[in-house]
Amino acid sequence: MNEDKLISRYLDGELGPDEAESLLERIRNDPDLDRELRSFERILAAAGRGSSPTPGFTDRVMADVRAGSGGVASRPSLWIRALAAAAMVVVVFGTGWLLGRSGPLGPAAAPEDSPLALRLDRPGVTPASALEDDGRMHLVRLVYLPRGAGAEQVAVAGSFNGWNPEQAPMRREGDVWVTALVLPPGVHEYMFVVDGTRWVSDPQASEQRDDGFGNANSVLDLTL
Amino acid sequence: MADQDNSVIRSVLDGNVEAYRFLVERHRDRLFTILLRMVGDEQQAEELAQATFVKAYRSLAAFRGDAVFGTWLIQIGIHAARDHLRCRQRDRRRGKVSLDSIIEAGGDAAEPADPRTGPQSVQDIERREEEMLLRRGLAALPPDYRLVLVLKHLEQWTFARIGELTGDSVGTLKVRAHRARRLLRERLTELGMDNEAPEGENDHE
Repeated sequence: MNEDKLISRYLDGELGPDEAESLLERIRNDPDLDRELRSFERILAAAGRGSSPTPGFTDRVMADVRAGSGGVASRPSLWIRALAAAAMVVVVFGTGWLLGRSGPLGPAAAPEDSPLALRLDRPGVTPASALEDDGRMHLVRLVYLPRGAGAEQVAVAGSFNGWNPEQAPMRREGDVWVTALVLPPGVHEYMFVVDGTRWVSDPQASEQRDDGFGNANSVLDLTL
Repeated sequence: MADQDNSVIRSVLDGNVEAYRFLVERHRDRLFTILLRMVGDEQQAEELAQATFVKAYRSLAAFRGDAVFGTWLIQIGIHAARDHLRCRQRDRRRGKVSLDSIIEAGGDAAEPADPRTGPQSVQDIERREEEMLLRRGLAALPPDYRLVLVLKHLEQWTFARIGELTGDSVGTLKVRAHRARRLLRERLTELGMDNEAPEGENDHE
């Protein structure tokens, strides 16, 4: 096989062991071939060097996404159905969180008076699981485990979404409800909202804070 | 990574729009780099990357769970880049854009770096010069040549997989990759990119 083809196969990652040995032998005896191969490797290494868009890129994408967010398959109809089923009494058990980091969130909606109404259930515990820790943001996976009669709709409301459960509906996965949230570092408070009216704190949380309504908000400390 | 992406995608599809930010943060640099190599201009690459993320978001419901989000995103970006290059080529034929202006677009890389990084080292300056030459070299290649270089050497796609995207045979793509590398090296040599390996790095002895 000629040198040109050998180099090409090498750069394509297709050299067999015998061909690799043959190429190495030729390189040892041919400084020009050695230089040529290094030249290709240098060019390709330069081409593969990563670049970043300008600051604010993610915010601009998210602004575009929000401006036309009707295009994605969100499921508001489930929420409406859940409101209709809100009279059901469910014994609750459950939750957990955790995860990683990536980049700054946009400003969360300002906390407002939450529609705290009925809070009936006593939650329990499920273990947390770590996903990733690679930078500035936390990807938090929340798990809610109902016991007994199943909930029709579960959401999480907290200081990060203006205590608006419609911002973070949870999805049923078998017997549990889960959601992934992307949160900035800081201390966040939250509760689960079952079937639109039952506000349930998370016993797995490291801390509970009096919410001024006779119940406790769960604390998620992401300052680490 | 793919499992985490899929978890976030499910959350987005459940109505948690803000979770999409995580996917943008995670994949933006990779997508931007590929698009920059394709179109050679930072502003255009950024506009294409932004449009790609928005299009991916709007198509998220059609994303198959067994696919890899990053790969799917790059496919959308590549299609956008090819459309963009076709338009630019058409404009050039009509005399709206000159070849020189396209090649000169690569000159942006010679601009000072982010001021937050402070004074640049000699190595930084050399890298920026190399980057500028590389963009000019790539700009001189036909778009299909650029595409195969990007997917093969930046993304490590197999030729078979590239062929699924472009419709070309493996044999055609191998020849194209070979020619693309040769042409790029020739062009960079003409532009004065030093082909010599730095002294003391030869470890073949």
